[in-house]
Amino acid sequence: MRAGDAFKLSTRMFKTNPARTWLTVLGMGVGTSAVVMLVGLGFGLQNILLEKIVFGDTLLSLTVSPPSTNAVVLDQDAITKFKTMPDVLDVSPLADFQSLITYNGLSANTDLQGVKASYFKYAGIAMAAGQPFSDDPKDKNNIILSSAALQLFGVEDPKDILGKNVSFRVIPNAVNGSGAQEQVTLQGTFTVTGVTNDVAAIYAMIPLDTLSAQIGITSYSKVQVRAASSNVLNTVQTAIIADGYQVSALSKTVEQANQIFGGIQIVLAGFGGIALIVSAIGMFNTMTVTLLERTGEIGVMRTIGASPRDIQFLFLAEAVVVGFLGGMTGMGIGIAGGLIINYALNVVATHFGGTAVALFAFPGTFLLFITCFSAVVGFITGIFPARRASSISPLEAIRYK
Amino acid sequence: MLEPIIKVNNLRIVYNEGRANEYYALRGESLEIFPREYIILFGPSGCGKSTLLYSLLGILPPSSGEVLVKGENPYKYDWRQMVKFQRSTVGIIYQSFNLIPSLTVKDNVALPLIFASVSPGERNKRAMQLLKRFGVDQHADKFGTNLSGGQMQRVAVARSLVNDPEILFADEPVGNLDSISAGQVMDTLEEINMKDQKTVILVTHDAKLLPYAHRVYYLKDGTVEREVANPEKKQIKQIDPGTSILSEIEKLSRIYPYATPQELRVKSIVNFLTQDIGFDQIERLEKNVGAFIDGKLTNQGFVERLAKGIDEGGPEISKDRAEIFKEKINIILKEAREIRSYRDNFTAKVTSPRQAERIAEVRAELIRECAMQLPDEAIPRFEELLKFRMRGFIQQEDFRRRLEIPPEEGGLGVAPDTARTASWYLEKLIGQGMYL
Repeated sequence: MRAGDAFKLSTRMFKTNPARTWLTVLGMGVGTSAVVMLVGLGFGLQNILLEKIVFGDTLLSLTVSPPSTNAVVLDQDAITKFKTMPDVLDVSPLADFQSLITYNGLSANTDLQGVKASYFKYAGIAMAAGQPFSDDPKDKNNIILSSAALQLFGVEDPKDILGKNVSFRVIPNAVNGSGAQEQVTLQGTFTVTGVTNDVAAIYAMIPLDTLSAQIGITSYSKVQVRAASSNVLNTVQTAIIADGYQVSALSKTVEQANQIFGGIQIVLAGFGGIALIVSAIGMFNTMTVTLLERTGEIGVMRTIGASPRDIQFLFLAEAVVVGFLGGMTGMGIGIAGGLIINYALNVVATHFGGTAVALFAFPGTFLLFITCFSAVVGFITGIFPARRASSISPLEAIRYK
Repeated sequence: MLEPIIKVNNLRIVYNEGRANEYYALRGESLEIFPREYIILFGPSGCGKSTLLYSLLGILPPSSGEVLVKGENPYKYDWRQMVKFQRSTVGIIYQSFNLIPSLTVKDNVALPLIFASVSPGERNKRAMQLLKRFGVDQHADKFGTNLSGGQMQRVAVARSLVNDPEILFADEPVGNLDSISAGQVMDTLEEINMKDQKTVILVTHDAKLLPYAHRVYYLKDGTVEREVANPEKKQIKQIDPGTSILSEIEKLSRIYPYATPQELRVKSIVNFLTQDIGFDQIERLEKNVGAFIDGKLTNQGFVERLAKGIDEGGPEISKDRAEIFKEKINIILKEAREIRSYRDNFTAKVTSPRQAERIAEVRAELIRECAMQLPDEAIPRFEELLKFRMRGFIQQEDFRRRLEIPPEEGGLGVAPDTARTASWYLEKLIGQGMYL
């Protein structure tokens, strides 16, 4: 039998019994759409997380901190050493001090962090409003606050504080043995130019040069080390650990996040899979009924020169076609459903002041997989009816009423 | 010496063998069918004729015995050889046509070629040729279910021939068709046998089809009872002179197709005892009487036809006798019409003086035909009795008994044999009247 003829013969049911055939396709479609939608949700959530935390530089940065034993310290020497390591592109330290921040006559405790502009990229700090400062001297009095710090002053909208002035009193690290705490007022008026989206930690960020000009910095609490490429990330990490420092890499976190989302997707796909199994059973049922209905026809075909293989092939082709169309329909329903739900949620979210997000994502490879997968499901549901159809005795088939 | 195309040796087919519902469909039958023969397997339902056909088609394995088609046993084929056998050696048409309803007429005919991977251009050409030949090409693009039964069967014939098989099987091909369509399909099959020189094997229970065959196998209860060659066709199977003789029993079997040879012998003897004309004459006489009562023959024509000699195709009945026949038939028809009118008026509740005249008319005829001797005073009672019977108030038996009962007991006191003849003749008239 020619492929074109086989296709023609195995799509007859769309003409002879269009309602039932399309309902079968729809049944498969609904099952597939459950898979598409749930897995799409998994992809969407993963994307949201990664989009928020991942920048190119961030992934290639290692966060180095001193060990809790303080056996080694992160001082200028250490930074110089890191800088001269092979495969290290850049180093960006963070020095922090306890301080009092005063805004609008209100004072509160905060962590004052002195950083270079590159730190923002390497640490993956995202802004809720405004811009991070640059290393340019004209930015030397610009500071950044975390979203959590705004709450100290009862500021709701991050935009409200942009351009406002604040002042700092720093409590330098207690010199061993002195016990006394002196407070140093930072000279100058500082303008808030940006707010990070961190709602957990209370801190203010100030250009490192401004800070070091007024306060002696002996050690740093964190250093971001930017590796030249992802291939050398592990080498650099091992070298720094060998010097006795603690190292964490965001890329590890991303990896872990991906693993977790992989797990979540499997669970979601499992739920969708149940729906798919239900529809596959429905389709199997339809194929079996079709078989009974066509028993006579099969007998006739067998007596006019159709081989058992031809019959088997026709049934399988029919099942694959229905499965494939079911997959297509399912993708349509799933994607449309996801987009509609997303739109509705975003309308609600933006109404209550949240930000719009893409909750669903449908990568091309995933859709390609679903297409093939649904055809395979169709094929599997067709195997049993097809084998039975091909093994019916032609005489019994002719006499079947 | 001509080799048979199909040879069946001791074929036994048992359904559900060894189980409680075991059924012997064929009990060890043997037969031979020769190339280009037209064979009819004839018998009542359940006689095993279809079983034999499907066994020859290669889809019903024998319980024992052997089927050889062109010298090979199809039940020893693997599936590839089987497909080849079904594609090139045999073709089949069914009683219920079995067209695939979801395909067009053209695709139905081309379907065997589709399975054989023939290119669309070639198979459509072949299908259209056959459709044209059988006069259904104008329906080529319709779906099978939109055709009449006769058209569907002609499409099925085209489908069975599209592979150009050597043997064409037909399972009650005209069983679902009106007589005109049946005639067309049977003529088509005959043409396929004569012109295309295909071997045709047809299964039927309809005796009207028997003249189409070269030979007929009569089956009953799973056995081939007899094999009868059609004297009107030039035989293909060589029959040595003297080995077969066409006797009256064979001729009788055409008139009484379902009768066993024993029953046919009995009929032959009873015919000899009771009638002075033979079955041949009876058959021809019936044909002419039929034409006469249908009004297709004049009185004169009828008499002349009856007088025609056996050699001229007539029943050879003497002119005097033919005249008597003619007279009697005319009287019977006339009286039958009176009875019919009487009953029609009676059921329509029409009262008319003509009703009484009709009773009197029938009464007079009964008295004349049966030479009844009735005193005048008994006439009203006789007419009363006739009225009851013609209205259906009493049965034939009641009528006869009341004729016999003595007058003092309320009857007419007619002699028993006269009473029997009169009631028998009256029943004939009523029967004719009912089916006028």
